[in-house]
This record gives sequence, C-alpha cells and structure tokens, in this order.
Amino acid sequence: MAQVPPLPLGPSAGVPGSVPNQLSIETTVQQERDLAQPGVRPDEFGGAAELGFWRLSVIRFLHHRVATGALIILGVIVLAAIVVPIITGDLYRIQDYRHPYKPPFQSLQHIFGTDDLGRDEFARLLRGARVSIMVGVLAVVGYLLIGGTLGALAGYYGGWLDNALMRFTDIIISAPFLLVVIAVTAATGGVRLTTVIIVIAATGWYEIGRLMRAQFLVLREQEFVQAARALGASNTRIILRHILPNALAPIIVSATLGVSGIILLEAALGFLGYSIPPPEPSWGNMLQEFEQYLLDDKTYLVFFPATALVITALCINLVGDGIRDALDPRQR
Amino acid sequence: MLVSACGTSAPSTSEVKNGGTLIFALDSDATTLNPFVMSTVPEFRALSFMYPNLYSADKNLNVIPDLADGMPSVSSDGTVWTVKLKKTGKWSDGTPMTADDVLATQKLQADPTLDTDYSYDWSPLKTIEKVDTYTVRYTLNAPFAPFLAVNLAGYIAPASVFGKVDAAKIRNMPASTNPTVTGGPYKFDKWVPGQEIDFSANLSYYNGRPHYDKVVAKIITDATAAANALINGDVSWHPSLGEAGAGGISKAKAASNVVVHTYEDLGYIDFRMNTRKGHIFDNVMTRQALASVLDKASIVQAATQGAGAPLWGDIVPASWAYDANSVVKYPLDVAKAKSLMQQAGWTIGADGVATRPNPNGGGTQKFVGKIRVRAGKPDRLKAAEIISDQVKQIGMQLTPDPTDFKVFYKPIQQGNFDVFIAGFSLTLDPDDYSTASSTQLQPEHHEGQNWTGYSNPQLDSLISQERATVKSTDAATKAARKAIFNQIEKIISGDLQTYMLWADVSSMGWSSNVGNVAAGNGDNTIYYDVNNNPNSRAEWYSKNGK
Repeated sequence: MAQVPPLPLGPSAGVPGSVPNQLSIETTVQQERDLAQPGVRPDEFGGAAELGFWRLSVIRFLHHRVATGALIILGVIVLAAIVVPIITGDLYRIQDYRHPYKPPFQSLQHIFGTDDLGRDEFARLLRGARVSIMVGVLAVVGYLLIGGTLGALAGYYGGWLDNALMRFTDIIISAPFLLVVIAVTAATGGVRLTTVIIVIAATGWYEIGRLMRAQFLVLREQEFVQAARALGASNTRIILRHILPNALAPIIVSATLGVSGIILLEAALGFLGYSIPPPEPSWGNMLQEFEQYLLDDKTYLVFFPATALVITALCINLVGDGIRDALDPRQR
Repeated sequence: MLVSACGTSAPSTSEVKNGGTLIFALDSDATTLNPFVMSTVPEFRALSFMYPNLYSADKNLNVIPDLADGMPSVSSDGTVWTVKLKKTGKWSDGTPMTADDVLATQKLQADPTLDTDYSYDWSPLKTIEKVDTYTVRYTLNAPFAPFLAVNLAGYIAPASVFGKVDAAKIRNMPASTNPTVTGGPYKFDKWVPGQEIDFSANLSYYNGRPHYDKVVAKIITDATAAANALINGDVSWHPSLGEAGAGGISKAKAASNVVVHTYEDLGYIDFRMNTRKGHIFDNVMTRQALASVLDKASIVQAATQGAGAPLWGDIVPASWAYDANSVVKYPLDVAKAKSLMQQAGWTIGADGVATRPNPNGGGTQKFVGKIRVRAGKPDRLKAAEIISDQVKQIGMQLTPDPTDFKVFYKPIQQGNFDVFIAGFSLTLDPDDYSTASSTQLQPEHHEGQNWTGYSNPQLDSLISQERATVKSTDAATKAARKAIFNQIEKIISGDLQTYMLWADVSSMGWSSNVGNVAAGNGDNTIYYDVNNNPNSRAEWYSKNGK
C-alpha cells in the first residue's frame, strides 16, 4: 500500500502557497529511474519519510466523521449485497403465489415479508442491491473510460482535436437520455441490463470528460510537465505518468457522486420498466411493481426498496463529499 | 362534496335535474377528435359525447336502435338489410340527420384509401343505397351475421363535413381538431392538448336534453393519481379505475363519496403459442401438458388480484354467446402433464430441461423458449413469471421477455416467436374469424391475426357457417349462432389453439353525486364505455346541481 505517487513533485508544485519544492531536476530523473526498477522502496530515496498525498488524504478522510460513518454503512450494504445472495441462493425467485403478501417482521423466515408472488422480500432487496450497485459501478467505469480518455486527449492535445471532441460532447449532452434508452431497447428487441449500462455510460460521460479536459488544460502548462517534456518523455508517458495522477482527485469525487446518480437513474428506468427483466429484481422495478400499493395496506413493499435506495444514494454522496474534502482541503 | 352517504334508498328518476359540470379522468390525451381516425379508448370516450350512433349496445350488450328507428329488416336470404332513421335528429348546425349522413359516413369507412389505424371491415357489403331521406338499404355479397353488431352499431358523422373529404388526407382536416358540427348529447367546446377537452350540452339532442350543462375530460395519465382525484372529489368519473390496481379499487370502494362498478369486459388475455411444425408447442399433447400443469384459477387470481375471470374458450362471459359448459377444461394434474410430455416425445434431461430429437434437422431440440409479454403491463408480466416457474416441473424452460409495445408484434407477425401473452379487445360480436380461421394465418397469408399457425378445416367450416347464419330476428340469429359457437369453443379449448388466461374484469368509479348510473346484470356497465352508447351519457345528472 502507501505507494508514493509516481511523481512526488506534482501535487505540491501545482498548489500555490505550498512549501517550495526542495528536489532538483536531477533528483527527479533519478527517481524516475528508480521507479522503473522493481524492488526499490520509496524510503530509499533518502531523507525523512514524508506522508504521501494519498496517505494524507486517507487521514483527512478518516477525520471526517460523517463521511466515515457513511462509508461504513455503505460497506455493510455492499458486503450484504455480495454475501447474502450467495447464501440465500434462489430464495429471491422461489414463489408461493397462492399465499402472497406475508407482512414484515412477523416471522424469521421472511423478515421483510413476501411480495405479490410470495417471494422473500429480504432476499429480493439484496439481490436488487446487487443489480443497482453493479449498474452504478459499471456505468461509472464506462464514464471513466469514455469521458476520461476523450477528456484527456482533448485537454492535452488541444487544437482541432479538442474542438472536435468538445462539439461531440455537446451533441451527447443534448441527447434526450430516456428517448435513447427507449429507442435502443426497441431496436435491440427487449429489455436487457447490459443495454441499460451501455446506454447510461454512452450518454452520461460528458461531465467527467469536461472535468478531465479542464484538468489537463491546466496541468499540461505546469512546470513539471514542461520539465518531463524537456527530458524527452513521450506524450503517452507524460499523459499517463505525469498528468493523470495529478488530475485524478476531482475525477474521483465526480465518479463517486456519479455512482449514486446512476443508481437513482437505474431506479427511474426500472420504474418505467426499462431495467433488468424479471424474475431478477432491481430497486427500481420493485418500486414500479408496487406503486399501486401506495394506496393500500401493503406499503412495506414500497417502503423497503425506497428506503434502501435513499440510504445508499445518501451514503455515496456523503462519502463523495468526504473524499472531496480530503483530496482538496482548499475547497472547504 | 359529500352528498349521500347511505345507499339504501335509491333516488327516483323524478329527482333528475339539469345543470352542473361533469369532470372525468381521461387516461391519455386524444391525438385526434376525428372519428374516422380514432383508434384509442380515450379517443372513443371523447367521441361518445359528440357523435350519435346508428345502433348502440344496451346494458346486456344487445344491439338496440339509437338514431335508427327500430331494428333493421332483413330479407329472407339474409343479404338485404333495410334501416330506417328517426326523423328528429338534427346536427348542431341545424340541418336534419338523414340517409345522406349514413351513406357519407359508411362510404368513407369503406374507402380503401382511408388513412386510419382503426380497421373498418366493409368487405361483406356489395352496395349501399338511399331509398328515401330516412331509409338506407344495404345489399351484401352473402349472408353475414356480424353485420349488425360490427358494421351498423357505430357512429354517424355529418355529410356536410365528411361527404367530400379526401379519405387519404383525412387526418389533417379541420374537424380533426375542431369538430364544429356534431349531433351527440354534447357539443365540442375546446381542446387544450395535454390538459382537457371541454363539451357543453346539445340542447336539441334527439334523445332529449342531456342533464349536465358542461362536461370536462381532464387528462390524468396516472391511474393512481386519477383514483385519488376521484376520492378527493376533483373528478366525478374515473373510467379506467381498474388500472389503479387492487389497492386503488379497494380504496375507492371504501370512500363514502364514490360508487364503484365492476364488470366483465369485452376483452381477454391469453397465452398464445406458436404451433407451427418444429416449434416447441407444435404437438397438441405438449400444449395439453402445459394446460395440465397450470392451476388457472389461482394463477389468474394472483396475477390480476381479482381483475380477471378465468377463461377457457375465446368467448368472454360478457358476450351473449358465452357458455361455460361448452369448453374443455384441463384441471391441475402434474402426473398427467408429465406423461403427456413423454407421449409427445419429450424426455427431461439431467439439467431439468426437456429435449427431443430435433424435428428441424440433426441433434436434439431443447424445450427452451421466451414468453413475449408487453412491458408496463404488470398483471401479464406476473402471469408470465408464475407460468415460467410452474412449467419447470415438466421440463419447459420459458423465460419472460418484456418488450415495448412498439416492437412487440413484429416478430409475431413474422411467425418468429415461441409464446406471447397478449390482450385482445373484442367487438360486440363474438365472431373469432380473424384470430382462429386458418384463412387468417399470418405470415402464411397476408393479413389476419391468427398468429398461432393453427389450422383445422373443421374449425374453419364452423366459423364460416356461424358467420353466414342470419335469421329474420336478431334473437333467432343469436340462438342459431350460439349452437355453432359451442362447437367452435370445444375445438379451440380442447386443441388449445390458444391457452386462454382470463377475461378482463374492469372497474369504473363515479362520484356518488352522479345520478342515473344504472348498473346492469352483474354490475355490467360496459355500455357506458367507449362509443357503445352515447345516449347513456345524456342520462347522467348531477344530484347537487354542481
């Protein structure tokens, strides 16, 4: 763990008012060489062990109580979503349709009661958590791949490439998301989770793309980048080893917040019937199936997925805020 | 708003008064107010306030005269039908309703270039002629029993507006958005797209002055929201209350200011299999195995929460031709289902999935398929989920596949499907020619709705026979046809041309302030719906005059 970032020069060099850097160009070159050699430990660079940027960030994050609490709750939810469905197996789709609607908290067998087809609500809720979180994470990975790459290229190279990519981004921003989902679903002949993930990723990456471009625009003019260029580093190396690590902080914050946005979006799609097909549950389609019970005495069927959705989204947002504070103390 | 909390003493009709505004919930906006182009239920609901019918349906779904003066007289060979009109009908521009209007309307409906989504079938008609100002004579190619309920029961539009229009360009005529000349119980006032359609009383309506002064169709697309509006007293009629689900219905029933009528509708939901050679359901024994492994009554109850009546044949209980004893029923019998699968050549493998030697060529065929079902229809999806779970016992692996309506029918029309769960809404006539006759196979023949691939010469001949049975009176015709329908239903249910699931049971809610909402047999209020009886709209009144 606790890796020193590839370029310790970077963060402090970029921050105005920070301690002037003590390292010379020569040291930097030496460090680069060292890094290329496996087995060389950071401590051997000489001098007192400094707390790295990331380690400092972790410490700052842990001092943020609300965020830490949210992270623990989120960890429990994710862990439960991973572990419990493995234990309960097919329970989430075992029907007892002749005896549906067992109320919650009445028996240990069905702690959250059963749904309209007599399926265990607790197992469905956690199975649904899997779907929701998986969609959130995979779509954000998609954001990072598409938005990150395009933003980095646009920001680094500038010129016509920047122009072309940014106009493309404008087009994506103006694409009506719901219509795209409906059209793609119709064209591919049915509701598929992969379709949903791909469409979300393909239409939602622009925020991260723009953020990445802005970071690259600033960072590419920094002295440490010019130094690396002067030393003959290739563009690929500069982008991947010098600029990218320094551009990551706001991207991580945006991506974290993006996950909660996507989980809510998936719920909205599920509510409209455009998420995972049955018998697989997702929080969105659980809400959709039971919308009508809002008028009834079976509100628990709405209450559980809605609460799970709110708690998860809230925790992710709090964690995201915590990360932002930790990575960028100036923004407090 | 609460008017009469107790329901023991029904108000007598002498208390009927004029005045007030009827606000009702329309579950989606109309796309047109042109009767020739209309195709959705909300559009026909709007239509039923504006245009008169030649013949209508009474509360038991019998055809009764409306603008027509008495039932049609039919020649002894069943091919010449003569209809007389009431002489009191007047359009809102003051001109009388005459045979010219009937001719103009029906000629336009029969025009093959008519640009419409609704299917008008006037193919049995040879000629239509005006005998005198108030008499029309139809000559048919051959005796055609459904002619009365299918062709004559329907709206009449003014010749002055629709007499000279180009059928191919009818969508964009002014009357599509601003129907100024009408003749139904209410006149068109204004249409605010996405919000409401307003009507006011037609004081010279030929069946007598309608009792409300104004009618407002408020567009409330969410059935649950509309149910709340009904309970709160914001609307006085919620025709699609059933869409709000069991919870919405029971909450409306519990409200003291709401009256709910539940009725068996002219529509059904079925599990339609592809019976063509080489498909998994090509053998009648396989279909019987499916029917024997399903407990229909409890599946329907679980899927519809009581909004469906279990059905075995394709004639619904609301129809005069329904006979509960003329169908073959398959009771739940898993052992029999398993042996039927074996007899049909399917053996269950180690993975629990049935296989047989592939009839399409070498290797084996697995019993794996998809149940195509419309997205956004929770009751159908629930049925698909239960069926998919139950049929595993006999080695059938059928997965629910929810699909958007826009692309739902494409592969079905190409014969490229395993099973689909579909809804069919029916006309007043129980004739099932288009879904069961082998002349209506699609894609084998050009059109038709017999997508199952099922073909049976005996069934075909019974259907032709039933269609050609015309007696001198409507009652005699029905009696003769019903005997044939009983045989038809035996074949359809026995051979499982399609596995019927349920007949729609719909619910409508009225404010208890609306008077003269008379329920018929079995709470049957269907005649109020769509355009089956505009005159019933005229009879409603506001008890408190507001």
